[in-house]
Amino acid sequence: MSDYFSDLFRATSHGLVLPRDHEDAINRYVAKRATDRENVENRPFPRKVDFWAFCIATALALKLEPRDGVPSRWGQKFIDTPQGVMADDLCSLLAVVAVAKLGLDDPGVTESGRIIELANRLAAAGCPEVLRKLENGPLNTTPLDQALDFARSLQDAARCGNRTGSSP
Amino acid sequence: MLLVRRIEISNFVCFDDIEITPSTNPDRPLTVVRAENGSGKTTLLRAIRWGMYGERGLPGNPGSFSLHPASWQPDAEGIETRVSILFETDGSSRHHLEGRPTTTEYELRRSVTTVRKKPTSKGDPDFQRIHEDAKLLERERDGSWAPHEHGVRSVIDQLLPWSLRDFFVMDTDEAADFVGGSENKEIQRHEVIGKTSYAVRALLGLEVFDEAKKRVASLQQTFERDATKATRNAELAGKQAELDQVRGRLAEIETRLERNRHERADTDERLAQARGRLESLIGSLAAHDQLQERLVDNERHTRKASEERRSAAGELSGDLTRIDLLASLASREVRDAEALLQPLYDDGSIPVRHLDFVRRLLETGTCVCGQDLSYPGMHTDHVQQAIDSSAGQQDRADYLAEVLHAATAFGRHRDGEEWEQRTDDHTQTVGLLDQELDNLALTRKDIDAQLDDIDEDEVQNVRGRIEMLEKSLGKVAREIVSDQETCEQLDKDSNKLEADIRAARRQEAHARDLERYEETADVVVQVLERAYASIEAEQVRELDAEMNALFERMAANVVDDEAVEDNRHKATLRMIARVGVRPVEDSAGEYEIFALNSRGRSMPPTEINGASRRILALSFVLALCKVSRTQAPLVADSLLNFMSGSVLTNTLRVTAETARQPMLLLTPSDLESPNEIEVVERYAGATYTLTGQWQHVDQGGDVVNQTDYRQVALLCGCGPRQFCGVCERRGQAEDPKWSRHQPREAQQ
Repeated sequence: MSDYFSDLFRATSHGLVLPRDHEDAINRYVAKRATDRENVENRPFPRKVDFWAFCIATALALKLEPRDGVPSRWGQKFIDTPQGVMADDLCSLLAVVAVAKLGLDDPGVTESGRIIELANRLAAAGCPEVLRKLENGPLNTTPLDQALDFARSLQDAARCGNRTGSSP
Repeated sequence: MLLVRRIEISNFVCFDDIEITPSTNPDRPLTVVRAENGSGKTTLLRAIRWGMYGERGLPGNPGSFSLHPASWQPDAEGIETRVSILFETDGSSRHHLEGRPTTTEYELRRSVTTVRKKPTSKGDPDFQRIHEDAKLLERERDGSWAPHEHGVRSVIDQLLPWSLRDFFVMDTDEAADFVGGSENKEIQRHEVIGKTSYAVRALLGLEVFDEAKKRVASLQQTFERDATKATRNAELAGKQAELDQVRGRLAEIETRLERNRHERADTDERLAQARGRLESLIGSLAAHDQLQERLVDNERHTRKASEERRSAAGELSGDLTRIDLLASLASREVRDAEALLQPLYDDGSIPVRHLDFVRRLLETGTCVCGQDLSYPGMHTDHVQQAIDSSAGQQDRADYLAEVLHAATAFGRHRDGEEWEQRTDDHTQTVGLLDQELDNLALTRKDIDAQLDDIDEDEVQNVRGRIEMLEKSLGKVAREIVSDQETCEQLDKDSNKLEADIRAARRQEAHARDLERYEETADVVVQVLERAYASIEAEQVRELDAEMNALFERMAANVVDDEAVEDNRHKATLRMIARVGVRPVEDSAGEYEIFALNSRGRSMPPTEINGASRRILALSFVLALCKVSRTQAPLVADSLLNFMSGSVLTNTLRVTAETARQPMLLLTPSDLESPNEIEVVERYAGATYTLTGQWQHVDQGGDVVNQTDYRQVALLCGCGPRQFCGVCERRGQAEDPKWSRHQPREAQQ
């Protein structure tokens, strides 16, 4: 995947945010330091940005509406885009999603700020669903098992959506 | 030959006054003293030993051993204990079989008075013995008694030496020392060999040769020294001094060599015991090592599997963030974006390719309509304005083209099959590794359980002991090798010096005679050495064969039930195929008793059970007495302990037929079966029964009549199936196997 979009996102600083209300819960499932990788069963997401991306994908698969309101009110920034934490292909995917969600008539469809804002709102919409799944698994399963299981069920939901041919 | 005619005991522990007249009938040589456990058998044996050997015949610390009656309260007046043994000898000794034809009667009288003493410390006895007196009286031709000219000790030491006491007054537990001690007793191998060797040398008369050889060798060296002096040659005298020095050193090293050989034998024995202990602790060394190896192997595999599992779980975690998952979840949006952008691409709006065409034409100064634009004018201005306003649209179109390109690429992941397949693979890998880890944990548990069964501390202790003993053995072995080398060198030096001295002395006429003496002595030494070797080989061979023959008779007709005791891992009589006496390797003049199994393997004493050890020791004692023609009484206590069935009968019969005057102290259980009764009836010339008055029914025992109210043991003349007013026990009067005996007056 080209670095066209990652260059675009790095060029201007935009904050990536997740809902403030869920900060503690999110921290439980994200590795904080290198040694947490030993405990991957309980902290299945290597970084916050990975959790953030998974939440966006969850919201899209479940057709959730982006969260309303002013992000600075409900969101907690965890990193800025110039720090390059987003992989090239994730940046590309966000650009594609923005086109699909905003449409070509929206003048902000090519603006990095608008795209990141949309991504943050989608992440905020998907976050409670992801956490609900991780926190309510059977006792004999780990958060990693739960996350993978959830991913599979989301794929099924996405496939189902594809078959019904819904549109933005 | 020595025969005991009478034994009288007074005030000795539980005996008031008893008298025993052992059988002296050669056809019925056996004397049986029957007594329940705790009725005075061992005390009787101790009384005889004390009578023969005085204080050294008592067990433990003789000073605190009470000889006086148990019921006596120490007082100033005291009480006298007496033992008197009447015996006769025909004048023959162990070494001179023919001897003098006349028979001499002796009476050995030993007495001591016990008086009260104030104890000086806790545990100190409240009595002391004074006025110990021992007399040996010899019956004169006129029938009167006169003191023997050489005193008690010298005569007893000659007739019944203390070191050979087990051949005359045998506590069978002690006699088992010949075969490494009775059960639960550990005796060092060199002590066993020392005791056996002494008995063999003393009773076979081999000591005489040894002494003679040493004496002549000493004479030889004196002659040699004198011969050197006689030459009056200073240089030769110097060499002689040097030779004496070398010999002195040689003797010193040889002593050390012998000590080290003993130590090596003992260490070997201890090492074998420690290894045996270790094997019994852990099954085998190899099994323990294998478990440890399996444990290490298990830990290595567990580490590897854990690492692989961590890595596989990491891959799974990575799967959650892979773009093919995210793209498949956003597949609807990807498809929608494509649907929006593809028509724009198709009509050339994205990217804006016609603007490039127009721009290139303008750079060449030509308009799309063909007009020349190199000259300013309205048309030129209009075209330039149109181009400038399209710049923003071009950036947007380029952007959207990139989005379309990306959407097309993401479209490949629409189904998410690739992600699913990869994640399933990773999940399966994790599952397999979990299973492997579970299996490894189970194996580990199993190994731990097996290792837990082994007392690790004890194993380490024994291993430590083995290591220490091996080191010690190595040190001793090195010293032995070094000493042997030194001995060889000193021998060479000594031979060279002797040769030098002889060569020089040969020049001197006067020296020649002395030299001849020395040579003669040398020859005598050689003759003695050969004679010794020949007699030793012959006698020991005879002893070996006799011992095996006796052992076979005692072990004859043994069936499984009789041979197997509680201690099932110990070798039983049936497992012993051959026993005997053999010279100890590398140690001249030393012998040991051996037992071989059917495969010819030598069995250490610790592997042999209690009954077999007793029979082994007894066959040695009886064989040695027989081969050495030692005809003396054999007073034996606990002889038949641990035995039953045909072993018991055989042992009783063989002892009665082989010993010259056997006096056996037996329990009723030793005489239960008709077979033993038959042996006793056939061979016993005298029978006695000892009864402890403390075993009366009123005191919880089964003795019917209380003949004496004191704590004494009474002796009566009842045989093995007889009872009388003194010894009657409950149920005997009604039992047809028992008959009432009309006793002589009971002795107290």
